[in-house]
Amino acid sequence: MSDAQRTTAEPEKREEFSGQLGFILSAVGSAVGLGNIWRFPGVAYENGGGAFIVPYLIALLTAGIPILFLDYAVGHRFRGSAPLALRRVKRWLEGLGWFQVAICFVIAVYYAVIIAWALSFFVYSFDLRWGDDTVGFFTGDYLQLADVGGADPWFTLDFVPAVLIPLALVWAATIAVLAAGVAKGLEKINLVFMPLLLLAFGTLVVRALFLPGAADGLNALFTPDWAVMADPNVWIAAYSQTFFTLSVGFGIMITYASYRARRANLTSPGLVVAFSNSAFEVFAGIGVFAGLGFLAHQEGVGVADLEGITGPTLAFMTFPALVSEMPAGPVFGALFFGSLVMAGFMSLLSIVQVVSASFQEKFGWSRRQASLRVGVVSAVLSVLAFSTTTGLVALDTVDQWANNIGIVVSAIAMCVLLGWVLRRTEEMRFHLNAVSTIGVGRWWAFCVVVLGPVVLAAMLVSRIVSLVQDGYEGYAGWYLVVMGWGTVVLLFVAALVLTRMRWRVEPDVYDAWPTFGGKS
Amino acid sequence: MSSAAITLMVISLVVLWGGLAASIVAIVRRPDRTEWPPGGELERGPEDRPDEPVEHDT
Repeated sequence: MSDAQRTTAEPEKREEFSGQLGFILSAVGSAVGLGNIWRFPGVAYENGGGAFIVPYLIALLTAGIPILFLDYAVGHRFRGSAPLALRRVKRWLEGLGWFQVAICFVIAVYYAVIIAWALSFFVYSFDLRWGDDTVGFFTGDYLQLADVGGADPWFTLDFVPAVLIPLALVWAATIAVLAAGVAKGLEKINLVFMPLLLLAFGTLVVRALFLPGAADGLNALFTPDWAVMADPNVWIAAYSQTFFTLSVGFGIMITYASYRARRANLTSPGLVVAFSNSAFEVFAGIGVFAGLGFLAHQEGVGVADLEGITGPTLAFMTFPALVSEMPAGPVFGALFFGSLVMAGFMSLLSIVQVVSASFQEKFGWSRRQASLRVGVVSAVLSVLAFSTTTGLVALDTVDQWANNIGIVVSAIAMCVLLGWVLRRTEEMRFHLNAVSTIGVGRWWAFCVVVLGPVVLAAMLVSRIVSLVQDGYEGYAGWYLVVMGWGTVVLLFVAALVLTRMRWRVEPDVYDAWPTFGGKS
Repeated sequence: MSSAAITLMVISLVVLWGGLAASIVAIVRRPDRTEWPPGGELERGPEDRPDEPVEHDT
């Protein structure tokens, strides 16, 4: 395409959320995901119980929210998904944007699979199909896991229809919603699903509180162990939790903020989003531990003796056992897995939107073209890698590296490049304050430039050391190199290749508003 | 439940749900700025955005 044919990056008015409420619900829908339900309760329990609230709150205020605001400022001031917005900050930053897009792509490919599992289990709830042996049902009857974790095969193409069919449905729904647009698709779904999620999960939590043994579960979760405050690992856990739970540092919030009107308020809605997310997760913690207390009571053991209290194990092995024991189990099973599907789907939409938006902007694809092409490619990879009898192990491994290495590297790069190398934090602070009703002081810049990257670097180093020294889950070393470290290499390669490709739409004719220090 | 556990549960709920309530009150009282730096008019503010798209002369 010749230069004459290239048009500006915004040939038409940029898509926008319809207003404050639409944006807040969509951003909360993105932030509230599976992690709020299955990660937070276990992390709090293992890191000081009730005492965890102190490091958690400090981490939220000094890293989670400040980095969220940084994402908002970049996306809103430079009005693009990650590659376009970051390129407009500084041309060579486009690469970081594509690195973030690559992370979103990889996460979307496996995240959809977990939603597919939840969808299956939603259906299974009605007749409690998992029976008494919930572990055997999930890994054997449902996933039909090949013998991995020490033996061959590590990769098969034996597809599991019970996973493949709901997975196809999840991708079809994703494509349809994203093709309908930000206001008419994404926002509408969040407007419906967010209240529904609160209702469904709220009912479940309130019911769980009245089960026998619930108090023991809450005791286990909230009894404080103040000694942990001196343990740096607890602080790292708190910073990790607030960081991952807010979905910051990998392009989602940059993209969402770019769909706000130029004069839209940023910090006040940001606080609502951050506190909604945290309020939801402490609420989920109460529900999950009340339920675990009940399960321990039924099995005649202590809460501390229960296994599988976090992650997919909690959701797909422990929770079904708990549901089977509950009066009106099928109803509460459906509420639980329905909640997982809704929370996961809203987050998936935001992740795929990052990929779709960046391809629209760079290659001039229409919204529908981008939704369809990105959706179909992701769906095919999802099916090939994760709907087979070796899918669980692949998913577990890719997730570990994409999150703990990929996202953390991306966030550190954002803070260091914007704050230290380009020294643009003052401009971002100016932007936040120019459009928002709650101002941010110099403390914000300190959190983003100094505290955030230092803590994130500590998280990254400790994780790399642990992964290199101890491996992961006992999987074979070569497998971790290929699927784990290979994923990280793939992120870098994708970022390089996509950055070098030619813009079909002129990205650089752009004036940031409001003008900062005599230049835009 | 032990009194320590109850206290910490209440504190956690009050701090996080209270933070949510406070941030909602803040945004309801002052949803948007009323004055902005010069420029930015082409992209309208929320207060004057009707449902239908508005054509601007450029």
